[in-house]
Amino acid sequence: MIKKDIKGELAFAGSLLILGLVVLFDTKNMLVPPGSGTIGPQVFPYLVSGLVILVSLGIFVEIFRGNLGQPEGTEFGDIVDKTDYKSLLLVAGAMATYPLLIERAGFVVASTVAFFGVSYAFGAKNAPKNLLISVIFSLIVYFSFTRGLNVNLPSGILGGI
Amino acid sequence: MFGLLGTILGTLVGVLPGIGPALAIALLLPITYTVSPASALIMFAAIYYGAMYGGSTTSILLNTPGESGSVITALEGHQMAKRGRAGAALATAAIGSFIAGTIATGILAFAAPSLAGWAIAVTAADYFALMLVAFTTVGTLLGSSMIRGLASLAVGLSLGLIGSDLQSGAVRLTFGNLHAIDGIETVTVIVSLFALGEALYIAGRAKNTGWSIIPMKGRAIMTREDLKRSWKPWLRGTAIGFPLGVIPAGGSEVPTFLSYATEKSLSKHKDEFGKGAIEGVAGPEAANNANAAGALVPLLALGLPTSATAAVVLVAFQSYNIQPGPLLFVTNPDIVWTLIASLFIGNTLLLALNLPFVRVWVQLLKIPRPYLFSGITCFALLGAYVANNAIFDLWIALGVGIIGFAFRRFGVPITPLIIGLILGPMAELQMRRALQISAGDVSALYATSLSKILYFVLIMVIIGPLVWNFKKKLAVKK
Repeated sequence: MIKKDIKGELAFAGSLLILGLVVLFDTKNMLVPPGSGTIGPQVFPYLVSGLVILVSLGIFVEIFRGNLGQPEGTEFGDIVDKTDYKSLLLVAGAMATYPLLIERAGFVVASTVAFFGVSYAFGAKNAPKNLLISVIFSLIVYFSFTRGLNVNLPSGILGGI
Repeated sequence: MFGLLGTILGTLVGVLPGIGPALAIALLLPITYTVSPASALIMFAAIYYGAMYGGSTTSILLNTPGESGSVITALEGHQMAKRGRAGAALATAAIGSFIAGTIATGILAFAAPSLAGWAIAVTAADYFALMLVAFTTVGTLLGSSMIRGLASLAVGLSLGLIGSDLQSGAVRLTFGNLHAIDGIETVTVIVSLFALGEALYIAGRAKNTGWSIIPMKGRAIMTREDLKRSWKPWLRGTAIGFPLGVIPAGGSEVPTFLSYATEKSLSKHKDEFGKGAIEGVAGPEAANNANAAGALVPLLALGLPTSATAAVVLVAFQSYNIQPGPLLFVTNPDIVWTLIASLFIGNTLLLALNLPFVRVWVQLLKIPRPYLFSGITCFALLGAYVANNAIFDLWIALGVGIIGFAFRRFGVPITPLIIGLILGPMAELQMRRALQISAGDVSALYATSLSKILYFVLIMVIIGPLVWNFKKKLAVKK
């Protein structure tokens, strides 16, 4: 268990370091419009990248000292030690279908699919009931937002209803 | 009218486990896009208080606090519920919140203009120093690990960099993506961080346990005995909560915990604490509300959000082109008074509405967990999309959701990220202004007495805990 935790923490600190380096390099290669003055648009980003890099190094230090981050507690039940990748990927996947579908197939379809996917991942195994609820939810939201609040939602393949 | 709607929606969303006031306001923002500013403000105020009350309902009946401020309420409140006294607990929470909210809003009404008047004398350098202090306090005091809080802040600052720099037109961190030129929508970040991040985290890491609801017997009223025992804690809670709300990064854990500790030590019924002492609910709830109102003081007077919730309110204002700060009182005084009035109205409505309607809210908690999460997720995604009607925002939302997951998994607090995201650009603006006026002379940053004081505070904040820990270690060694 300890080994796994450290791997994750190291990955986290590593990503932070990469972030800092990305900011640093982007700032270096930035196209600075002439006349930006001495305190141009690069000063702050340099400072920020410096901070990020320092902090990531700090976390590396903490990890090697054994101070690992405490995972957050929630009100939904106890936290398990091993990540349930199946559920996680299922939820992430369901969320990812939303941007893919929303403009091609319309809001209602995208919302339905996402809703279905997330509920399924959380344990709603009764597929037909789940699907029905997903559709109803999406329809209610669609109509209340487009008719009731005049918000623009893509109608996609169901356009014309 | 909108106040009523806001109260209902706010409480509704606040009751839902996992949604704190910040997320509640952020999620409900799309609803206010098409409404006039005045009505929207009233809704915000109502949602703000409503969400907090919803949170305390959940913590009393379910022992599942919806946000850090409700943790202490859950302690005694749930015990009271178990003893069949849920009604009284809810009533004392509601009334206490009302009283605290009213007093705090009253102080806000008086304090904010004077603070704003004084704030006009503040220079850019002072602002910069102030923001640095806010950064440090938020980064170091929240959460269990100073360095991780700073990590969160750093990520937020980096995200804030994305987009075109207002003062020079240079484009930063966009990697050629046209959509990124305007920067990232703050609301999208907040919503994704909280909602999507939580959904991912629970999916991946929480056991599938449900929760049991304590049925509520009787009505939400208090006996005379309850009242007698509650009113002083209400006042004390307010006194503790308000000042702490004004300070950046107080968060709600500190005031509520302080209030609890105070009540416990002052109580004549000490033995009841831990088994359902009503003071343990009255005080912390009042402190929580006063804390929230207190956070509005720096927000309105200086434009400085001191909590995630305040940050969301700031963004909401900005979407109406209202920029909180000292100028607000000069240019838009009516907006401010509208807001304050709506806070009063919202507060009152809350009391009137919620005491009788508690049972209705409890029904909400019966929604099965899967649908709860999918609903929240879809709402969050919807919110992200409608900000700009752009798919790009949705991808950003997903990315931020993953960051939210990572942060939770690795014990990194989330609030600093939001503060960094919002205050980063503001801090940069002030810094460059100060340096431009002094033509590059860095000492201008600490020239004024206020900035000297602030930097001193900053150093204290960083060194303080370190020295403290060091001393503790020394003591243990002995």
